[in-house]
Amino acid sequence: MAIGASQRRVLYGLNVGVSVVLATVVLVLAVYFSGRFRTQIDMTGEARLNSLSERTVKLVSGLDQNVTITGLYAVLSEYQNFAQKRADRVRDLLDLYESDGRGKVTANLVDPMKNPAKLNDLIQRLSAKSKYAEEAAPHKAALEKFPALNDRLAAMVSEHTDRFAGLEQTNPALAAVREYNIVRLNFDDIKRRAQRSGETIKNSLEKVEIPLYGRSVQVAREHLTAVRRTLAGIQGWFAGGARQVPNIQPDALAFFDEAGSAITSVLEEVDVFLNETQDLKPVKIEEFYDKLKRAAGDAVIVVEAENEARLLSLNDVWPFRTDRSAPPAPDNDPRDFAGEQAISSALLQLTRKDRTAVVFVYFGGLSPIRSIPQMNPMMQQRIPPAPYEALDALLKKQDFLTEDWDVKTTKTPPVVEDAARTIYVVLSPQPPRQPNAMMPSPEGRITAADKKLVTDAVEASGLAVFLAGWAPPTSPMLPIPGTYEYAEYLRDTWGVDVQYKHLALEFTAAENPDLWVPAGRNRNPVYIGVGASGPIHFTDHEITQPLRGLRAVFSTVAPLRIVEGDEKPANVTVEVVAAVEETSDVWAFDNLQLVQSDLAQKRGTRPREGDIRAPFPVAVTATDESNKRRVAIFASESFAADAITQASAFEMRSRGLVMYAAYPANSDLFVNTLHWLTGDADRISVGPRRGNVALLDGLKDDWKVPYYRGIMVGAGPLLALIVGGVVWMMRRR
Amino acid sequence: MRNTAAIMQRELLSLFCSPVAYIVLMGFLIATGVIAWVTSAFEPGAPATLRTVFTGTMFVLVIFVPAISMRTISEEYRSGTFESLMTAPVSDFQLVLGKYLATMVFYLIMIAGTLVYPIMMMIFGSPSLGVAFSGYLGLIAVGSAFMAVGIFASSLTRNQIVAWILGTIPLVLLVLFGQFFVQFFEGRLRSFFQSLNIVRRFDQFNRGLISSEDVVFFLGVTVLFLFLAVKVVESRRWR
Amino acid sequence: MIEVKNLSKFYGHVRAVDNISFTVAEGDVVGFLGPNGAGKTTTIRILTCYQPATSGSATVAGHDVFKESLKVRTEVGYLPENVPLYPEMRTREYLRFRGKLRGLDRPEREAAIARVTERCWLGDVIDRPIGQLSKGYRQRIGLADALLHNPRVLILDEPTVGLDPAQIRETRALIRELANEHTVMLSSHNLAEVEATCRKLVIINRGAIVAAGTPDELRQRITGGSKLIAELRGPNEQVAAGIRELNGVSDVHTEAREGWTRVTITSAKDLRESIYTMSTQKGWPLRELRREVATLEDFFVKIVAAAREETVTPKV
Repeated sequence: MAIGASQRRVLYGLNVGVSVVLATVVLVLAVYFSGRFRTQIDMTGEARLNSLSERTVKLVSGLDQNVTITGLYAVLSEYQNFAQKRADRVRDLLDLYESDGRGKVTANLVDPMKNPAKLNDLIQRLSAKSKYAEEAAPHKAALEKFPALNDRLAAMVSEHTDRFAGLEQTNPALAAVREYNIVRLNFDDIKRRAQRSGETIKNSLEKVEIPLYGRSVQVAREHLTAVRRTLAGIQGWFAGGARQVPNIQPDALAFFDEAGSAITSVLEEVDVFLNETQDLKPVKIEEFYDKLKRAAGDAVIVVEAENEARLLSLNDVWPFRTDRSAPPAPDNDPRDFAGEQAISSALLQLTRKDRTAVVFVYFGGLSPIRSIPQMNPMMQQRIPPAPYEALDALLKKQDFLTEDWDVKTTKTPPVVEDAARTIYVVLSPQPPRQPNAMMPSPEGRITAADKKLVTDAVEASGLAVFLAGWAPPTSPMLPIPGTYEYAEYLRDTWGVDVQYKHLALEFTAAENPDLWVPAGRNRNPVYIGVGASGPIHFTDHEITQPLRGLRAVFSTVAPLRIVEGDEKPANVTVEVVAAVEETSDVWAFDNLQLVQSDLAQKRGTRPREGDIRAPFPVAVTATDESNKRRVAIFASESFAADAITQASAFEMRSRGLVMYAAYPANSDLFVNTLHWLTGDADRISVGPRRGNVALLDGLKDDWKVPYYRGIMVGAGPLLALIVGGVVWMMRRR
Repeated sequence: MRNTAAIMQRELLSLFCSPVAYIVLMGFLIATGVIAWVTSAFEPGAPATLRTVFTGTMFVLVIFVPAISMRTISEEYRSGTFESLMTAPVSDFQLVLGKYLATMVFYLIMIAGTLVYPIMMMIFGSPSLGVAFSGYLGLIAVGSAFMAVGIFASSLTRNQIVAWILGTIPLVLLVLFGQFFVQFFEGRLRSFFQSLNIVRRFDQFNRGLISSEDVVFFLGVTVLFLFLAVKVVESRRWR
Repeated sequence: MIEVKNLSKFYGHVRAVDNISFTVAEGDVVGFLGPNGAGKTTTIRILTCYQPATSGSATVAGHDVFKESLKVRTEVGYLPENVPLYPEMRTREYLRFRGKLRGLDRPEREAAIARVTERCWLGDVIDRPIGQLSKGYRQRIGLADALLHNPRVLILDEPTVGLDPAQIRETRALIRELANEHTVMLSSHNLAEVEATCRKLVIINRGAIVAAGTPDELRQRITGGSKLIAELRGPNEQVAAGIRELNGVSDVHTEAREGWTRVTITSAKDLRESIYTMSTQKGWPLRELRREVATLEDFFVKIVAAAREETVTPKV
């Protein structure tokens, strides 16, 4: 069929148009889907600087609300050693969040010095969030009364000050009285203070980006508290000492009476104000405001959800290096980058609805997680911190709700509000020994009924961590072995036998052949290390997978035995988390005194009949398939105690004394166990990332550098010029 | 296939015979050298990384890549050789592909000129070779997409200078405004602009992250613009 | 071999080729003759698939130029009008490149290059950059390129433009030689060239075919019979009457000249013998007897002149 040119043009033009549109659509879809099902290769190798961990990717890609992450990192000048590097690293990380967020995450790095407008926007945005919008309402209401009160105070003071001159004329003796002069000075001072506080408050309500109600309340309270104390003193002198002044005239006495009652009535109002404002908490948004204002010096990252926000300080994002086993950073940065952990934790806290309660179960004595508040600062005696206080703080940071339960005094498990589930951390009923010998030692054994309370609670929630371990003799003098009260329960219900009578130690060859002495002259001999530093190794369990390579330690270990055969409870699967590897250096003995006497007399000991030789597990998890209950059992009672997790060590390095966490994996092991119990194995924490920034350290700063640089810049163009010239010559003929 | 190879060879021969090629080559290397100098990438104790150099290089490419591609097709139009080429049994696709491959070979040689930086860095430090590799991969990906845009521009006009301008303008827009617009938007619109943000995509490569999304993006842009160029060349047959 | 049917091409509203039809049989050598701007190059570009026609169709070697462009292009060797070449390449490089495009593998290609180098007298310049060569050499390189793959159809657009007389002669000889092996279609604005090389002619003017056929046929058609001019000494009327009686005379025009009578006779036949006989019979002495044949040149010049007027007048 013959077609005309115009028809042909329309036909072919349409064809081309359609195919171009199709090609574009295909491209868009290809890019979209390759983003959805992204695979990526991280060429930074082991450091994996460019990959978010799986748990973060899962968290970020499953967000149910829009999230904005703003890094405020100022790079003032090159004398701030690591500022540029830190800003770059954070920018990269924020990029990763944004690209994995698929439109849900907006991430920006802002230099607050160069871009103050953005900082201001951020502050306004934060103060508009629903969680903070009404927060300052009580402060605001209280403050409305303050100007009148302050004015009244000032008026009262100045009115009386005016009358002092007349008083002195009729009572010349007054001028010589020291107290009288102090009163005069104080009145002047109060007047000035009233004026100054009024101005300060006015300024902090009007002259800054957001009205600082909380700060103003604080200023008002400080001012009024000081005034109150002063006025009360003055009032006391008017009522007492003033009347003893020799030659005192009646007009002065009348003045004292009148002033005293004026003070009383003002103080009544002051008390009302102070009482009303007593329970007002600092306003969160103002805290943010302060930190953001300081962001130029102390970099922060702001993580915003729709209604709430979290501020991450430089210390959260760049904690000081704690891991000794890692080589020092090539650029000598004393801080590690833990940005992902910090941001992801913040995101979790902001977006997670179902939180987990962690209940520390103990029997008698002091709370393992809460110190007694320092009631009276005058009391010189130091009250020791609770043994799990730092762990408690860490758990709170990880968005757990923590609670303690003294079975001895409280017969019902605590109910934690907002918690979707509860994990019981069951401490040995023989509570950890209080470091302070002055404190009363807990007494009495746990009763069977109380034990049942605990096990029932565990059964009900289905999630528990048992901190078992060697039970020390009840008396240092007599070989009466202690007991681990839950041993029977764990064996019968979970198929794990805690051999609490045996203490496992690591030995090393003594001078005398065939004899051993406890290993670790400098270390605590009851510690058995993990990994390169010790004979315990982590298995491939979900809990320990991310921890390999980090140092950990187990103290006062009692071997575990997994019950096999007929005694094994049905439906229970036991998996090993950590075990002492097969070695002749570790065994567990049940007669401490015998070993002690061996060591004292023969300068060495050897395993005996009945001792438990390595290998044996020291940490296991048990899962009851039938009703989805899980427990974790650790054969070391104190492995997560602050005494170990917070232990630090020092080392001399070229740049001086360096402090680091001695056992960085211990607290991670505990937290990961909690995540595993709740089924959030993917949220198991990651360690800080280390950018192995290679430096041009082979390049010395000398006269050669300009030449090298010249070669770098000049060699290429010169070569191009020469080759071009040669080719041109050759092609002419 | 043979035709593509023949066109590629001929184009390369012409490229390397013309002084313009060497001027472009020199200009590019001087530009990257100046960037390396100015950003103090090669200072005692500086990080052994090419990242800052490469980031600057990408902006240089906006100017230099269209300069390589500007003559490919428009020169054929202008000199009339297009007629003898298109009356030989050569398909439009082979023509465009041959031109693209030739300019990419030239581009690779140009990029290879910057290898002197990682080599110097390897002498005086131990830069991450993986990151350097992915940085180069990024340069190739970006260059390929730019080249396709440049060839498309070249297919539109018989004037080389016009072709260069037509090639540079969209690249400048894409590079500067992709980055610029992103700041003003949130949510879906932002992720749309982010997906066009070449600077960010290149930066992914530059810091050692080879992501399927970025590879697909740059390959896709390359294919799309080569396809458009083919359609433009082809349109002569039915217009 | 080439079949053109109702082919038209408009550039906007300008009519470059207007509904032309012609065929070129296999082995023919066809000259496509016309003044500049007559539509020769446009037609040729359509035939070589460089441009599309506005309407109508054309097939080359049995393939439609629009639908089977690639097949047409493999069959055709084409020498474009201005012989566009890459100045930076050497002759051999160029021919190799073209050989590759033509799908010749290496030995074939080298053999073909040797063949065309000899044929087109390129031996001297085979390794020189094309940019340095004269117009004549460039023309020959173009021709060599067209011959490289031994095509069934050769289409040459103004093959002798810009050559010196010796080169023109050589080139014409070459084309005549080529005619033995290929179907050739060449365009020219030079009648002599076409007459010297072609067996068939297509004359085109202002986009339309004015005439087509062998040169003889064309002459025939142009003159529509021959003219006889005779001068006899005899009475005017008698001479005219006598000649009119002759067989085949269609028109007679007489003119008296100092006693002589000049007669112009239009007839289909050659009447010279009969006129001579008549003059001897009647005793009219015969001073001149000549048969006047119309040349193609006259015709062509007329066309060109008309075209020139056409193009010049509107401008004034």
